[in-house]
Amino acid sequence: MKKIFKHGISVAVSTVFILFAISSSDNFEPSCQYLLKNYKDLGYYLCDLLPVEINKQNNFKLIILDKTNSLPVAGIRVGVSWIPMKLIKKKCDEYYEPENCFGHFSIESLSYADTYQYFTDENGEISGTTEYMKYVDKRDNMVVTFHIEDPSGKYSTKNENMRFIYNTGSMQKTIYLLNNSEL
Amino acid sequence: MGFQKTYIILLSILSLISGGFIYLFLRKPPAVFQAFIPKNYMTAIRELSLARNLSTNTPDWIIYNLPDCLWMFSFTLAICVIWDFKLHRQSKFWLAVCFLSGIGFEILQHMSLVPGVFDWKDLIFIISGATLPLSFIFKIRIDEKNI
Repeated sequence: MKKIFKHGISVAVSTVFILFAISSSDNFEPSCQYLLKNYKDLGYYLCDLLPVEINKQNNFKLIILDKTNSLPVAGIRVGVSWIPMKLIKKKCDEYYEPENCFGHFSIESLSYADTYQYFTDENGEISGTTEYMKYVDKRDNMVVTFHIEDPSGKYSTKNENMRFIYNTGSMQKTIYLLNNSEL
Repeated sequence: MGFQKTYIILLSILSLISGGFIYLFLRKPPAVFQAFIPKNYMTAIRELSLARNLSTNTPDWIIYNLPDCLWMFSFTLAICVIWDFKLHRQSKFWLAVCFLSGIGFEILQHMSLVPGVFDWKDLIFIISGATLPLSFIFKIRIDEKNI
């Protein structure tokens, strides 16, 4: 009788621990069948899987010019952050709305939404690369956002986005800043 | 033994909770169990974690591997307590279940059959987590033989 009881307790304990292990899973890669629309809706996420997962960095270049005279603007502080587009669409915020993020990590990043600070050079340029991103879906989009700020206060602050898909190698964007004195 | 048993059960629960706290405070992609935590609590936890810059100041092995070790340690310890730290056919069966479920998860992750990322370090930590409670059993057996 005592042994049956112990077996029963062992079954219960094992179930609890195994459920705990399953519920601690934080990665739904690489098969689309694990991608949930959201954590309440267990419907499968439709995706177009790449034959081979693509693990790559994306290169970006930003040129900042003065809108009035098209001359390069040096010394502009540019913060760069990146995030998978699906997370933006789902209003996923890793810290404030984490429940919107479940199952939406089809683009995997080692340092998701990291922010680095750059300053434009004398040609008004900054360039860099994102962290490595693992693309599994052909429709994966990664959005790089530039947070532009002029420490001297001569130009207005603005944000600009650049969107990469799995087969984008590098992208360049030119941004015109309006001089505050022109406002 | 009854008094000791209480402490050992507490140690098992504490290990499991510690692993859970690592997930809550240090891991970036949200774990499924976080969905069961009220939103305002989750926000407070995230803000605290961000304010203290916890995840960037903590070594990777603590964030990614230690929870597996703590889970395995807690699981093995619980099974050992249930079977009074004795080795016989029944206890061996449950210890095997416990050990194989830990190792099995990693193998299934390697085969992409369950969510998660396979890592050799996880395997090492899982084996270490199981070894410690098993060494208690062997120590008890050696002590009993000496008596």
